[in-house]
Amino acid sequence: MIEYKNVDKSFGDLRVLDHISCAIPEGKITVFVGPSGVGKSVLMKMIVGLEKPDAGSVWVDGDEVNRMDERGLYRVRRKIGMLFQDGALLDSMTVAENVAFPLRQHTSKREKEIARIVSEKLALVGMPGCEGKWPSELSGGMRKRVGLARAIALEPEIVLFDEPTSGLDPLMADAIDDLILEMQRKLRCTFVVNSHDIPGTFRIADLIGVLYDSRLVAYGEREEIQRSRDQLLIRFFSRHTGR
Amino acid sequence: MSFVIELGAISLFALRSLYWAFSPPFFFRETLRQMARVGERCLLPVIGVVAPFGMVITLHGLQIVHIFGVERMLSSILVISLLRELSPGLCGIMMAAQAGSTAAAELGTMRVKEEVDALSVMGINPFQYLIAPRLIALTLMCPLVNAIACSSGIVSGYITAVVFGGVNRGAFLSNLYSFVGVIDIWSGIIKTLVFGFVIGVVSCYYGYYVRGGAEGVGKAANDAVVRSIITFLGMNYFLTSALLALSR
Amino acid sequence: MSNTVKPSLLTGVLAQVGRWGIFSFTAARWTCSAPPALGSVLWEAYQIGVQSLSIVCVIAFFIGSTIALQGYYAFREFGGQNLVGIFVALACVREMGPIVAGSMVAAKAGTAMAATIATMRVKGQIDALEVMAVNPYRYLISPRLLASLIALPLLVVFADFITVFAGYLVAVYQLGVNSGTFLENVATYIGMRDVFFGMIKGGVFALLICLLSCYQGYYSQPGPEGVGRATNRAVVSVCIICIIMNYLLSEMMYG
Repeated sequence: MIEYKNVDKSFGDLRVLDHISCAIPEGKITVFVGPSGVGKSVLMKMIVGLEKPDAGSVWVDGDEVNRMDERGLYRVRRKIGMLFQDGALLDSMTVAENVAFPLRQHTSKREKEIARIVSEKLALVGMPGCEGKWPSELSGGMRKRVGLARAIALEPEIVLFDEPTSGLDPLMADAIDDLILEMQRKLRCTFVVNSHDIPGTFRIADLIGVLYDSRLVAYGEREEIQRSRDQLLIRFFSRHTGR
Repeated sequence: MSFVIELGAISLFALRSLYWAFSPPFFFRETLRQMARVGERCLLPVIGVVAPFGMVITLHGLQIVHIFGVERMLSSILVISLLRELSPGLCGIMMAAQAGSTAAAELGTMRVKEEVDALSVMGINPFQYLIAPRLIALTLMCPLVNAIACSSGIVSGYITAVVFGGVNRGAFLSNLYSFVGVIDIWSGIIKTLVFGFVIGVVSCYYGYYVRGGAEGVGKAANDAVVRSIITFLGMNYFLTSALLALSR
Repeated sequence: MSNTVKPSLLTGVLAQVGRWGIFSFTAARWTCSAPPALGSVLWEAYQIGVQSLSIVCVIAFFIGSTIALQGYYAFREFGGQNLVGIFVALACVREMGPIVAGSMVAAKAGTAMAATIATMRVKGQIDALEVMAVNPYRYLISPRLLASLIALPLLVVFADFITVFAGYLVAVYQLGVNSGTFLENVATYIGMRDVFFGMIKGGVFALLICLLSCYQGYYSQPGPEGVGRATNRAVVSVCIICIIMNYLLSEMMYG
């Protein structure tokens, strides 16, 4: 379980997060939506300790990550996988080496075993048999898929998705959304997703958090948010879905 | 080997740039702006390198003049080595690293963002508007920066010798120019003019013909620095031979 | 109504130096407490050496020949042109060898380090490393640090040899100095001690080049301009600091 308690964050004079509190349950897909530049990425990076809150605390499975030293953080990060916006694949390595990278760093599995896991994960994300390709040869959607294969290589308990559909054409975005749903059915772990794509959010989310103007204006089950009579929410969603 | 072939292409590029630089319309304001930028970017780094080098020469000079017992020679050795060789060479290297790489990166970015093509479509010759001002600015600013850097080297040498090294102040100052001829001043100016021109041509060449997106721009900037240094240090050997033979 | 203090040039520079100090300390701590795999260090050392060897040789050749020319004409003023061997040997082995090797490694390998690490920073790959629980200092910086410590002193020896060799060619074949005199002068005034001191200089330059270049890359600004800026700053700051350091080292070793 991931929990935010009264988290504040500013960059200079710009306030990006204002008293955020919420708990993200295990084994569900939780989506944070909001316009770009409202601190969704910052909120997500706090889970892995890449950003620290100015005030308040962030808890992952009972560990307060904002107070941990480096060694403790690395212990927490071992059970988290993260898909970055553009995949963040290491350019100097092939697709297979990228997916194998966390395995080589953190386990003492033999090369044969690693090769088996790599091809299994690549098949899982719908990219079988592209082990020998280089990141620069892949399209944006393919890079995200490989990034996802790398994120789940160590079979993490929590997977974070930073804007998984941004910069993709609608068909590819749908395909990624399907992939997220399918993965969640197979892996049964906690998914946290950042998105500004409203229709996609309604398709995949179990829980929805709406970030607006640096505050968490709504947080709850999908149906609850969809049925909400709150004027701000109605305007927010209708503007983005064209309803 | 491929670099030798490329030198041919660079020479043709230089001729083309020169042709356009001397045919109207002239972009005087842009040229002045580029000169100001080159001066602003290069002056401190060049002084930062030449001044400590003046101290090193003095340090070793002190030992050599003690071997031969000619302390009064110290300041002449310092001034001659700075004027003829070290200041132009170091100035060239630092200007290649600062101004040359900037020129290559700017032109490369404009090429990648299709701004160069946009200029051509608008009827502005990129050679006249982009390359000529940078080329002229580098060629003219190099001697100027070198002159200032050279003085800073002499001052730092004076500090090392007189303040730290205990050399007699009068002996140092009175012998500063006793072995310096007009040809030494000229050799510094001619060398830096050539170095500046070489840096300008090589940097603009690699920037103008950049390939392969953002990474290509980075590679172009690096190539510009390394290859302009190789080229002008190679030419330096022949320039030194010619100028030294001339002076006697 | 903002009351934040605008950083002045001085506080800006001091903050940079302080941040660099912390960066270097962290890198050193990780290198000592968890040394990187020997294989990756040797691979990096091979990369740095091969990247820079050809250009070090070319530049060293030009510098050596020019030093011989200048020395010959300077010593001729008082009839000592046959002593050019002393001048070439002292200038090349004590000063120019380490400086040529250092500046070319800074220009080739240093900029490559800054550009690679800056690109990784800009593309979010360093964050990705951290999320995968891989320490970026240990994975990216330690191998480069140890590798440059191995490669640069070796390149200094190459540069020493080639500068003196070029000086010999010019002195003997262009200027007509007696070959035996030249070699004897070199042998008398230069010992293993000077070569060894040159290698120490090379080691210090290696530390500075690697730590400064990696630092500029690690704290690169976002965007493709950020990568260019980081690379450029790396070369310039390395050149200036190495030359100042060179003076201090020369003062300690030969002063």
